Amino acid sequence: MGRTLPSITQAFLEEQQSFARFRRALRRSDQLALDELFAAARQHLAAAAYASHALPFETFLLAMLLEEHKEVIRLRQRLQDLDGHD
Amino acid sequence: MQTLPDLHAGKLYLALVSRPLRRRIANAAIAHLALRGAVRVLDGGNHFDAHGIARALRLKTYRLTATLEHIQVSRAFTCYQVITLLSETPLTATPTLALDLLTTFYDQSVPRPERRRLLEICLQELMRLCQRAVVLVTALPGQDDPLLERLEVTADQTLRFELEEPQAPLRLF
Amino acid sequence: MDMIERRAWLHRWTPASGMAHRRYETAWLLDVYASPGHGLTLWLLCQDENEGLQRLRLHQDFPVTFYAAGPPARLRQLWRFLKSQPIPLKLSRAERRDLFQPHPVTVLAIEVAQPADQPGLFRQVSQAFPDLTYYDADLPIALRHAAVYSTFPLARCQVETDQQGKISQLVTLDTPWELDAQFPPLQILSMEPDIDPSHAEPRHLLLRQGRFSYRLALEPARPFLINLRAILQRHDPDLLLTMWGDTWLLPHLLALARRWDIPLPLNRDANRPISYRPERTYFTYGQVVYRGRQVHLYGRWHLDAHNAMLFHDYGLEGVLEMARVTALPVQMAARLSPGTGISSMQMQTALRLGILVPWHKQQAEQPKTALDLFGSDQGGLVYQPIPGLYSHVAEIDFISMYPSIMARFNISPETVGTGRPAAEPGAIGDRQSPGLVPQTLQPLLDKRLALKSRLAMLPAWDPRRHSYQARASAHKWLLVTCFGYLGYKNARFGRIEAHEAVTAYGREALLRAKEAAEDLGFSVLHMYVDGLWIQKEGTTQPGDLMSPVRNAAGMTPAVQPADFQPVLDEIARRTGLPIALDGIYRWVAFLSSRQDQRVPVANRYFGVFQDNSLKLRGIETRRQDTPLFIAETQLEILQRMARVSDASSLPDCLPDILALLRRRLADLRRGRVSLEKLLVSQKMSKALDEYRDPSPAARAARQLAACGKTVKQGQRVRFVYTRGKPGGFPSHLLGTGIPPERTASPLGNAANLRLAAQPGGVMPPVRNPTGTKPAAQPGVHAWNLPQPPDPASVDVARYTTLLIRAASNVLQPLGVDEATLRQWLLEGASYNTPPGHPDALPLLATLSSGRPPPSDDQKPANRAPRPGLVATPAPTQSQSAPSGLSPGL
Repeated sequence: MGRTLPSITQAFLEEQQSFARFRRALRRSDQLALDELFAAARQHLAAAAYASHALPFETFLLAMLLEEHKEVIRLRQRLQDLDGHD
Repeated sequence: MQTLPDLHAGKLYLALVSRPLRRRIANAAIAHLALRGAVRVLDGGNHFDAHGIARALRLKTYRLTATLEHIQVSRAFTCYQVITLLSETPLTATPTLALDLLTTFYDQSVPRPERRRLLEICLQELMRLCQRAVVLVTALPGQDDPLLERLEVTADQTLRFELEEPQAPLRLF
Repeated sequence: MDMIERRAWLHRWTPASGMAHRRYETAWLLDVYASPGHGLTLWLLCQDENEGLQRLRLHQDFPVTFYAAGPPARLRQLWRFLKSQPIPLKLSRAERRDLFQPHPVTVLAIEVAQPADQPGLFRQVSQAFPDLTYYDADLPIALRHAAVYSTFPLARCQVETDQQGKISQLVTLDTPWELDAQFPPLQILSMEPDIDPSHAEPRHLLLRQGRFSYRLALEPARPFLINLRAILQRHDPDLLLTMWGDTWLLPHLLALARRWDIPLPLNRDANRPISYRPERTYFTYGQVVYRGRQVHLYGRWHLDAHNAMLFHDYGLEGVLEMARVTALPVQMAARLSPGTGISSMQMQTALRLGILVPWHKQQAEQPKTALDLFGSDQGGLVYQPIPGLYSHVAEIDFISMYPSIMARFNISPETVGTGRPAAEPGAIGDRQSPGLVPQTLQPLLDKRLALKSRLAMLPAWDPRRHSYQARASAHKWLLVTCFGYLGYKNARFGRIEAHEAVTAYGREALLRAKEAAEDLGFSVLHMYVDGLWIQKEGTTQPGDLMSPVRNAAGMTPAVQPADFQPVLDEIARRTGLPIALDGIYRWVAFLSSRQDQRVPVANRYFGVFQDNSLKLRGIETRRQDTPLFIAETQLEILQRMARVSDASSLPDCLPDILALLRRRLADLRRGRVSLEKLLVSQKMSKALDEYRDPSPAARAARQLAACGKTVKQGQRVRFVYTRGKPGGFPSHLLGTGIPPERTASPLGNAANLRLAAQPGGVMPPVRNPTGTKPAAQPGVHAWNLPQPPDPASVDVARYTTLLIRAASNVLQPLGVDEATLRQWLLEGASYNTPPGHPDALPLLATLSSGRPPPSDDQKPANRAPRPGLVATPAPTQSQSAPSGLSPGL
């Protein structure tokens, strides 16, 4: 009904696909880590859609970074807990 | 990879672009013109690839937002809307791209004589606009298509963009 | 017929002529249509003090006007053209309002004395003068009548007739918005063939009206037709309710009547021929929809329960409410395509306000910059929930969000600004006067809200509930389509900028709701366009779940509806839109993608509300193509899970669920599942000859085509999956782990050989070009073929896989995936990882801590064992059975 731009999911998949060559040339274990990065970015597709950036990949990168930082916060917390036990 | 020749006002240009090249050619033309100033786009096929255009622009300028604002786009979803959009376009020197002009004219629910009549009005409007501005129309190449033939006859110069290599898939063995 | 009956029948409807001046205080409108030379024909149910209830056919003068606009020279030519026409008409110049023009336009007004003449005249005019712009040119006559007299189907009116029996005065006494309208008693004759005509040739016709019922043999034809004619004349129904009446029954009856020259009085109005609408296929919301051919009658209504989507879903009351609110004739209202209802309401509003209704949608999008397009070309916000199982979750939904936005913020084609869309809603839309779209929607929204609050107050046993629900459904359907229609390319009063403004407001409202919830201490688990799933922070501590306080009535839930009132109030305040609590889930599971467990899916979930009702989205039970066998089993599993009061006890259901699945699979293998329950129902997305790589549905359609039964694009094909490999080992047992000597089918190999010889039964296996194993193309056997599928040919392996997949979809939150379930059910061995073991159920950990699933190095041993989780394998039947199937299962 008058929609011209692809859905955010479609845009995401196209961006992911555009890195297929890069991914192919990576070691298998690195490929799995890369896949996790992309999967992490998928948590924030709604925000990326709302952001309406002309270059959505920049938003996806920020989402990946966001998830990485959350993991850092979690790990930091666990370290503190473990230090506290000793 | 063919490139667009220099385009001038006063002539109506028609680009016949085969389907696999459609996006690339349209994006290249729009980006090329947007980098040089204002450009008007009439999207008749609902294929306006905003993201692709943004990516193409980003390679050439860091002023992406401002350059995107050079592009004025309107979408036509029926052939009546194509006429309305063309007739509402003011006569200025701003280059005008009418992409996939004929797509809405293949709508079977509009009687054929009516579609032909509307196409004539469409062509008149395009001739009006190209007196002051560069006007480029794109369409899919085809055979036995009276509407396309009418468009080809009216255009002053027809450019063809087709794939150079054949489509046979590569095999390793 | 005896004399008394005959007189009664004669008095039931009276011809228009030969009547004196009469006044009817109470008359209900049944039908209105144009009659050549007689203006309009109206059929009314009149209450008369002497004669009781009679059906009257009356005429009414009703000139209709349409308009033409364009260059003055052309209009003058049109004037001369019209003057030369033999049709009586009046021409004049006028100034009228076009919604899309800032100033009134000058038009040539063409008033045609006889409404029946207008369509033909317009056709001529538009062909002779195609360049002019036309208004009010192709409107249904009922809508024009409604605009002048405020009538609608079953409107209560006061009617006066003159010496000639023509209507001299008509006053409508009620409105479409009444909550408790009075209806007259309608005479309803139902007619259905004894069997589905697409399945086999019917032999009898079953009829019923009131306490009378008949069963007529269709052959021999002459006596059948004579009997049918007598029944129609005797009962004179107001409504003819059929099964397959549009697509088979009525065309068949009419063809019979023609062949034997025994006319059937299907129309009450003998002067009119039957009206047909052709079948059509159209695209809407990305789906292909097929509408069968339609048969409309004059003077009475024909509704086909099979072809009228509205009737099928909402019954007669829903249809009558749709007709009432849209003013469309009942036969049209029952068979509406999306958008037609709302379009009619808008046209009526326009006519009443003196706004011109364009013939063709000319108006186009105003230019926007490419930058603006990024922001405006979006739909609703769709979030990605974190997959897992959650307790005490409230679902809150905006009530009719998009229509409410249109009404509240005055979004209409003529009120939406042409500048760049504002970041802040409130700047959009002209606050001064309500536009066409809000004016059309407001009474509908009000009535919907009034009905909903009435429904909320009625006790469950109140007989009025059904009626209210049916009518509320009609309103909901209209409201749901009005948003899409606003952006539809051919909508006369559509405008893409308005459509985009509505979604912009919707996104803003959802975000403000999220902020309000978060500000008040709730966490937002999921959001979807107009709904949010929220959880009070701190309600998922182990304490809440493990030791609920019991009161005399049973368990006290950790959260109550009252807990959410403050957040609802705050959201309503910040957004200006009504919002309601849909329910509180005792637990709800958000599912992840089948392909990748890390990827969330927006619209696949299921849960149990505090009132024990289930809500599910996106899984097999909800999908139309799922065979009943699988949908029912999945639902049974869900119902078993629903009995669990708190989510941490869900693993306790696993033994019961596995036992259920074993029973169902045994039924399948033993041929105890009826073929009807194995039917897959798929839509043909293309015409049959357009398929390059035929889907199973296309192959089934091919089989039907070979028997002369065509399936059109958009229609559904029903079929059974059959084994595609003739000969050799019974392939349906492959992969089940059952050795050949323990085959369940007594027929064994012989069945396969027989199958290979059956014509049109099983498709040969497809071999790929390199000559390796045959591709796994499922064999199909279409339903409705002359030869029914052989039960022994059912592709048990495929149905087994489908069942296990459907079960694993709902067991996913318990950490049970398809592979594990397959092992448990088919390997015939004991559990690899028993249910309840913490290692097997990572997602369950989210319950107690509210944190995401633990990472790999968090050792289960560090956590205290939780009551309710089983740490050791539960003794089950499968552990005691030898390898292979246990006879008891």
